[in-house]
Amino acid sequence: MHVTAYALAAVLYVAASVRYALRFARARPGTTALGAVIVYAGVFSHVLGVGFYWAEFGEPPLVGLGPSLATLALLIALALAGLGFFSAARALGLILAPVAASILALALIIGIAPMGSELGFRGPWLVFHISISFVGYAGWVVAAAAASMYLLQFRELKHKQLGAVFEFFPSLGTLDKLTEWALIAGFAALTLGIAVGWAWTIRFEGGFRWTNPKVIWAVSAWLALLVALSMRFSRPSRQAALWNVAGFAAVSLAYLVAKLMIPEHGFFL
Amino acid sequence: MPFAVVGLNHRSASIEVRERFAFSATEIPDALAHVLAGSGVAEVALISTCNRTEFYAHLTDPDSAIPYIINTLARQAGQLDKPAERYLYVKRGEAVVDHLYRVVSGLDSMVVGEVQIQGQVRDAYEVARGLTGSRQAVRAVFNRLFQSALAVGGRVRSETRVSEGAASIPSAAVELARKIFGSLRGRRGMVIGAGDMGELTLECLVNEGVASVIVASRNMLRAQKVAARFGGESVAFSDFWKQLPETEIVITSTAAPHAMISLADFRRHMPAKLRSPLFIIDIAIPRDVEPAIGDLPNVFLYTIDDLQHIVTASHERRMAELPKAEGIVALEVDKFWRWYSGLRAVPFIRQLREQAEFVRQSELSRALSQLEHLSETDQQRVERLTRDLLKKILHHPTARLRAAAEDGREHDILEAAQYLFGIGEDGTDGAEA
Repeated sequence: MHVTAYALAAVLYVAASVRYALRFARARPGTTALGAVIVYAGVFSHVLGVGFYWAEFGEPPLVGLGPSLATLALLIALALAGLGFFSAARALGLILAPVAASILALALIIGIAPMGSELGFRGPWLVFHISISFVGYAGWVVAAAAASMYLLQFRELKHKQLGAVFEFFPSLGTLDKLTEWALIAGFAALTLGIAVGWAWTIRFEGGFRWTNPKVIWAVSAWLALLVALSMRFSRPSRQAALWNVAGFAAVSLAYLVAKLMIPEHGFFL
Repeated sequence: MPFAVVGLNHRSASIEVRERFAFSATEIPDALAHVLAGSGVAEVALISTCNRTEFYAHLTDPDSAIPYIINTLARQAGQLDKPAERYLYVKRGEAVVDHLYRVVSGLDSMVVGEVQIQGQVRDAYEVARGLTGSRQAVRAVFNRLFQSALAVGGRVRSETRVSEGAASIPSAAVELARKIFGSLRGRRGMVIGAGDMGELTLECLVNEGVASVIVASRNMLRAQKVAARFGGESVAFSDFWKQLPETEIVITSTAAPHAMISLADFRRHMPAKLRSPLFIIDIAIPRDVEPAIGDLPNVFLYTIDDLQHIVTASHERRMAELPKAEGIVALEVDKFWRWYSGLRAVPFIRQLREQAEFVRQSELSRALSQLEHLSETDQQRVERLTRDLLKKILHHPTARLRAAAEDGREHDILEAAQYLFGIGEDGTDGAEA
């Protein structure tokens, strides 16, 4: 049952992506209400999928690659749904809808089922640690999407080639504000997530394992996010956007490399 | 031919002539009452903007009404170098609906697709609708006509791109400013030079929310006048550099023969790295701003040529949308005209129903007087039976008559129906005649 709901959500995210892509191709403003409505429907189906999963397996879909990816996709889609209330911000769906669709599709291909391994700690604190960390990553995805659009819109305005990007994308001011809010929210959430994980690892495992690849990656991601945030408040918006996108790309690439090269079972996500 | 539009617009008359025919907002109610007081006008509305003055009338006697409206317009214009009729056009019948729909959609405007006309037509309708009693200017037909016109305007704008994009240099500047800053509310603007185009551009930006305005000009009187108009501050021309670092939007329109904002000066007076964007609109010829400044980070420099390119591209896009917009107008004109034509069958249908109801009631009371043994409930059942029978019998003939009228075939069919049911053309009982 949960797979059907997840699959329907993926289809709806794809439909929203197509809607945004068509508007972009026709150089129309990205304030499409229909795109936002399709995303709402997708989120509804996605939440149903989470509910079915929880009822079926007795735990939220947070442990294991498939469930984790599905939950990350949900948080990105939720952020997009939230942005849908502001017509000027809906254009972010051009990037976020396909990202959510791709991550959820990948999760479906891998299989959305519990991993079944013994974890260091369980219960509400684990749920909180993983959930809030995912909120942090989702916030960064939104910030990186807004920063990418900022760079493209900046380029179009600077070079006076006013085409589809000019028409579809929000203003530089809007994109800059969105990046700032998403960075702040993402950083706060990831900081909290890492702090909770750190505290509980010390308590239940006797110390923080600095050599653990997932710890190295999570702390690197947190540092990169900190740099992006400090750039946002100290440098011109374009430079800050560049740092943001570059940092996000580096951290994502590092994750992929680590995932492929370290076959450690349980490496989160 | 019950409709007429009489008026003039930017194509039939120059601005000097159009000004003479224009009615102020306070004059319009009296002008409408004056036209209604003449013979042959059932409903009337007046659209008076800087580009057109038009009386729309629903007529009962076109032969007397149209000359009367022309006289009303001629009286408003006063003495002209040519007779007023030379500037006026008269359209009749279905062409009036087509004209109004095109006007409200912006297809008949000087700048195709402009949106202000929608509000101006709505205002004209509201003013006419506001007249009541013996001066009632709008009734069922004009209510339908103007409401449908406003809906057509909305449909054309939402389903086509005929109103999208900048239509003028100032609106192109506003569009760009919006794409750079998002909301312009509270932004700081400066105009250097205060020429007419600069002032017009500033006006558009202020209308969008630009709050703090500085005017720098060699002509201090002119600077003070422009600054006072926008609630801003005037400064000496030489002081504009002091203000520039605090400014987000700059309009330059001086008559200087050379670039007065050079790269070297800009570097000397401005921070090395601008934290927030600076939008410079250089509408002077020759240019006021050295082009290399546009290459600096966070500086967006647009010249009058750049803005003109945007306007031209937008105009081409609007023109490409015209066939689609005109298709919508044609479809809606047909729809309105079918509804209006259907009204021709209404008096006959009303008479037919009244006559049938009279027969039903008299036959029912005769029958019930012979069925006194029936209970009250049963009598009500009989009453309902006759009513339902009548409704069903008349349903098809009335629907077909209305459809025939909408298709313009009402003449023969109505004549036949009048003969068959014994009802006269004027709604009297034809059988008695």
